Amino acid sequence: MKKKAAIISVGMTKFTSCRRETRSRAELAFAAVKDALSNAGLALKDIDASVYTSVDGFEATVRPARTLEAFGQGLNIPLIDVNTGGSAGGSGIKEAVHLIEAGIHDIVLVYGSPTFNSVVDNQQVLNTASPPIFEKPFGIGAVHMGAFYLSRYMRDHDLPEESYAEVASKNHRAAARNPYAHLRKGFSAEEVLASPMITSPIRLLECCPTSSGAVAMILASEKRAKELCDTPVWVRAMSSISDTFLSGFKTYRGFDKLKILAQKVYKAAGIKNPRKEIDVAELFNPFAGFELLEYEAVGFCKEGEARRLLEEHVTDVGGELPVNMSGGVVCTNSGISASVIRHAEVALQLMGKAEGRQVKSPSVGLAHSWGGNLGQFHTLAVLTL
Amino acid sequence: METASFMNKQYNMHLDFSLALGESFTKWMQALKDKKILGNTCPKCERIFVPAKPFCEICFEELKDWVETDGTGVVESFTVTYQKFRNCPEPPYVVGIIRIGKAATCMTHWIGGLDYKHPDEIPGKIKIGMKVEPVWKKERVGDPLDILYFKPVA
Repeated sequence: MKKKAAIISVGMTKFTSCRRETRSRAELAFAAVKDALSNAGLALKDIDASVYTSVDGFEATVRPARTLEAFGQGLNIPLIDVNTGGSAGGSGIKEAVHLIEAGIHDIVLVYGSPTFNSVVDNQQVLNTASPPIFEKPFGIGAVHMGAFYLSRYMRDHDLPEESYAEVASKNHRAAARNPYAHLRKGFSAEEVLASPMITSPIRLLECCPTSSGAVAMILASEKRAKELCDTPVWVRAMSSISDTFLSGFKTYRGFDKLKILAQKVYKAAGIKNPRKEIDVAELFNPFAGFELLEYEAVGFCKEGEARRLLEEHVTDVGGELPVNMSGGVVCTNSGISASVIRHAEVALQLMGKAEGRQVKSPSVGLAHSWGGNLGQFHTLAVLTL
Repeated sequence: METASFMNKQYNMHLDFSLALGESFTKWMQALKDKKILGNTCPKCERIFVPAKPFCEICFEELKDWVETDGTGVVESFTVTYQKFRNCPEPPYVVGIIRIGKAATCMTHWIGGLDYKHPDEIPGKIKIGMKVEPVWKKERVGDPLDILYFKPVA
């Protein structure tokens, strides 16, 4: 019989621009892990295993976990390194959940690294994740790959550019309420539309910044979670999916892999009507428009109806199903910590600890992470009180 | 400024690699020298792959049957880049997702040969579903860059 796993604590630093960052990687890791431990009333020695999540090579070193000492190496704690591109945070949490569900460990620490915080030009680094020979020479990084989906969606659903600006503004306004977010200026849709085009149809303010900051999370077995936490957040169901590597091998018609994953995860969680049963969600949106495609993939609405959900403010502050109340990845993209944050934010919402951005008493949340060339990996988790 | 007292150190990771292409990628690249874009077909699901690849990732069968395409394709999606990124081409440049012939998959390549006065006009000059054909380099070495870009079919 599978055991139950819960998120019992989150530790987060404030996020800032990678260019303004003065804290070292070691200091960020120390701060986030220390915060998570202190929120759980634990010491480092109480951790049974640590999971480190980032992308090799993107931190100007390979196997970056080896360069940080904040995960209990000094105390002989096992350290597991998980890398599934941008979704590594989700995959790392999933790994921790498995270790607990299998009864192997009781307390597991997950760390989300500020992957990109030493880059000089992020797209130069992201370009190295493109298939060499076949795609890298054409000058594509993540922002180009994202644009392929958004160009296609506009054409298939006759979507005006304004809808992408509206969903960007929804995130910017939410980030203004989140004391941890990087961009907190609350830009309007008009300001978004006036910002320069980067890779059509993506404008500057529809595009995530390169942020710096770190997040840690502690997961525990049922017994320990109940002892240590008043409001443990249970991982009711969580899974992941993978896709092919070449960008050209994808259809660009919506997020088909996420749709398959969502059906699988909802089945495991016993969710029949996600729109009604889910109270709060964090969907991975490094480019604002992704959020619309994700509404459809995770079943919040039918294909082509995401625009209506947005226009009816269903997913905005005070709406029936608030999405990305943190301001999303589009306002804070700290590399792999961004995929841990999706889960951390949902957990904080369910615990009632989402300072400044709290949704009224949610009990079921959805956390999504995205990674690799164009969604080569997705993870999805249903979290509950 | 308080932050002036914090230091940054710059370094880089310039590394060189040499990649073995194997049988199917080599054959596909060699054909580019003769201005031919080949595809290969899965014996089970019959999907055609352009660029060719060693095996079908779904049926897990080796792809031994080759087809020659006429090189023309359809634009499935695209993006116009306006921002300069390190190690990337000078903007503006257009990257297209191009489906060659009856392929189940697409190729990533540049779209060029467009007639415009101001870069802002470029997205309007490209239609998803538009037919394109390759413009070849004079000297070809067996590389996707033997194709200069794809241009709209007149």
